Amino acid sequence: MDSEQIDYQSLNYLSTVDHNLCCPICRSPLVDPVYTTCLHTFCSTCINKALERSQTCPVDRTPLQAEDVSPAPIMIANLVNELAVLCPNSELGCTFTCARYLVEAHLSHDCEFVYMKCRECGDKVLRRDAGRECLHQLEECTHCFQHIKKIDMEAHEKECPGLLGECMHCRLEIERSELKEHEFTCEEATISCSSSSLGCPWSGQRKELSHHQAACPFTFLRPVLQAHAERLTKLELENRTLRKRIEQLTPRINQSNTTEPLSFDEQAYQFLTEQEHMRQDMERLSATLGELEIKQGMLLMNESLRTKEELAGIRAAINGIRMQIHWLLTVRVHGTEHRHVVGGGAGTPSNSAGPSHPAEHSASRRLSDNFGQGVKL
Amino acid sequence: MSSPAASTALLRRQLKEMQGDKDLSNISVGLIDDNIYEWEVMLMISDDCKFYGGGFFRARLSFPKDYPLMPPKMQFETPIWHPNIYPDGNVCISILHPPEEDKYGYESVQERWLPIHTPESILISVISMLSSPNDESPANVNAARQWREDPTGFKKQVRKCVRDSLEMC
Repeated sequence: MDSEQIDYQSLNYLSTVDHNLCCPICRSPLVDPVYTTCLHTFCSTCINKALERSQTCPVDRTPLQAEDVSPAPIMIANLVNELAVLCPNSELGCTFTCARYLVEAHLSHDCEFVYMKCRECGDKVLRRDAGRECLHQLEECTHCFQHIKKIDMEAHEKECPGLLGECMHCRLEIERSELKEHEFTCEEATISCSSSSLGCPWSGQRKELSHHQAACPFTFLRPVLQAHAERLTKLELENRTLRKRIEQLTPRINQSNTTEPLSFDEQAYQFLTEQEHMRQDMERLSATLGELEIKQGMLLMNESLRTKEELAGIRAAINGIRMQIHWLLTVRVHGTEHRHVVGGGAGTPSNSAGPSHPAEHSASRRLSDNFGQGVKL
Repeated sequence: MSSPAASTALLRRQLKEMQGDKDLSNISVGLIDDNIYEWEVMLMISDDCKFYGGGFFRARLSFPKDYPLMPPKMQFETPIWHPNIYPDGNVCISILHPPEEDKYGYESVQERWLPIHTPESILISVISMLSSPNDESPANVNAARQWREDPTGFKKQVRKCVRDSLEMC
């Protein structure tokens, strides 16, 4: 055995290992421990593979080169090398345990469960059998007369068809190869009634079957029941096919309903219903129209009432203004008359002629008066 | 160390450890099709977790053959609404990004995968990511925007997926 072939990472350790002795990458006890300039310890293969990917320490990301890695102190190496492990061949049957560094020697010199070359034929054989005669010669099985290699004989005996086996029902000893067949004829095997498919609940030993069947009502009715069952399955099948057919046809019928031309009656009926619909629509429309008219009228009335009121108000205002103007005019006329009387009657001989003259006269004065009034206001 | 046998042995050991660890009662792990590289993970989120408390989320961890030198992938199989989880369930978290390539550009090497991470440390990081999303690298842009702009709506959406997760298992 080469040391390379020992997979140290999958060794089984006898006791749980202190996690400080484990590589942080492979999480198993250090193999060939090394430490870095940042003082972290790894298996040498683990850290080398990791540095191929990323040149930093896997623990604290310090930049790291392959040169920054050196073998760990001997003490650490000794601590992991002296851990007790099971022989890697423990699954094959080796019970040897030793310190880890001795495993290699054990495998190469002592372990009985290491495969070696057979001295005679070169085939592989366990070390414990290697000293004896060649186990790869054929040998005849004493039970089934097959030719088996000696080395496989042990395994063969467990399943040799020529060996006797015991029937679990009648305790009869027969060859294993015939055991299965025997099961179908064994008198003491537990079976159910041949009419169990029709509902017979009986089950018992085969030798009692004929006795049971003489009295079994299901067996008695068997022809009738079977005929019924057959008919049922036939009907079910038919039913299923029919249902399928219906499923296929339904969409087609629905389609044809919409596309096929209708008969006269149907057409007439359609027209009539359409007409009815239209009539109803018309009624609804005229009703809404009437409502709208009423609404419109109301709106119009409201609006005109408002305008009428406004008009009346404006008229009243105009009247008021007219009254005021009239009053003002009369006041003015009287005023000028008074002034004329006071100012000198010689200039205005026609003053006393009538009220129409002063009105005409005042028109020329009114302009200037208006100015005056505007200033006064 | 990166031979398939080594990663198999390591994963077997870690699976056994996780299944036997009583402190991890809210995480249950098993294999898919008896394949040691495909783990099925059930995360039972404790009630004190923000938003996602009480949820039962199933996820799949797919380990590469050169584990632990390269990180596994994690994909949620239960639909989950989270800024850092793609709509197809893939988890975007920096410790699951391999150390050498920098396809995301923004993260420093400092945050990425280390061979000393374990399935346990990954799952614990993911659980803590659930309650504190990383806004800078949204995997689900809509969820990230909602988380930022409409916390109430985000909460509602998450509670819905928590409820759905309970129905699914």
